[in-house]
Amino acid sequence: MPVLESASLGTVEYGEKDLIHFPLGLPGFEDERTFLPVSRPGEAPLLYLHSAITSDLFFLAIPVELVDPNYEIKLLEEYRAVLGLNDVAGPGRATDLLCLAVLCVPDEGPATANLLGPIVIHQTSHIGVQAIREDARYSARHELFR
Amino acid sequence: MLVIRRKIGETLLLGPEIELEVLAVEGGQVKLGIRAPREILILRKEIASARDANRNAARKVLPLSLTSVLNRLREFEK
Repeated sequence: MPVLESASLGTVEYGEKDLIHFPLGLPGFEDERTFLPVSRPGEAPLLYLHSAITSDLFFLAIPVELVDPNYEIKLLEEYRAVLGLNDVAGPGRATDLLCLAVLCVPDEGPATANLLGPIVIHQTSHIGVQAIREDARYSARHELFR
Repeated sequence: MLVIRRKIGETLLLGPEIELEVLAVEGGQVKLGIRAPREILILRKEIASARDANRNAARKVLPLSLTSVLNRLREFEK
């Protein structure tokens, strides 16, 4: 079984199909194209989206509906294409999408969630994208516990 | 903020090298054409916000701060 050596999480075993591919990378991290979602015992619902190539890079994320139960996903055409949602014959079904909000947990001050650019993962094709909205409805620094 | 009115097909110069043209206005959206030197980075502002948020989110998290977020999340879920 392949393992991921993480500076923060230690050695993590995974299966090849656990990896999520981000064809566009993430804004600010364009070279990071592969991430492994890691959940640790006792830390649900928190997910570590750990880089497959950088041992000390991970993003903390939780399902977006825990941040805002009424959150409405809106995917721009370019992101729908990456996720294969436009291909009628393809695997693209909106019901297979997992939508995560990346958390920022500073040493001081409130934790925030990025609702402007949720991570959207297609759970069948294992393709992911950070889908930046173009409307001003949600903030990139939404205070978590208000 | 400087405000300028332009019609479709009219242009604006930002400095000597950047040219902005209004190509179309449809359904509350403005379609702009930009001519600029290659080295000028052009980004939707939301992408820059998301990039900054990602860089902050990638910083080291103190175990204590993480524990406090986890505890709050559990309270929230109840």
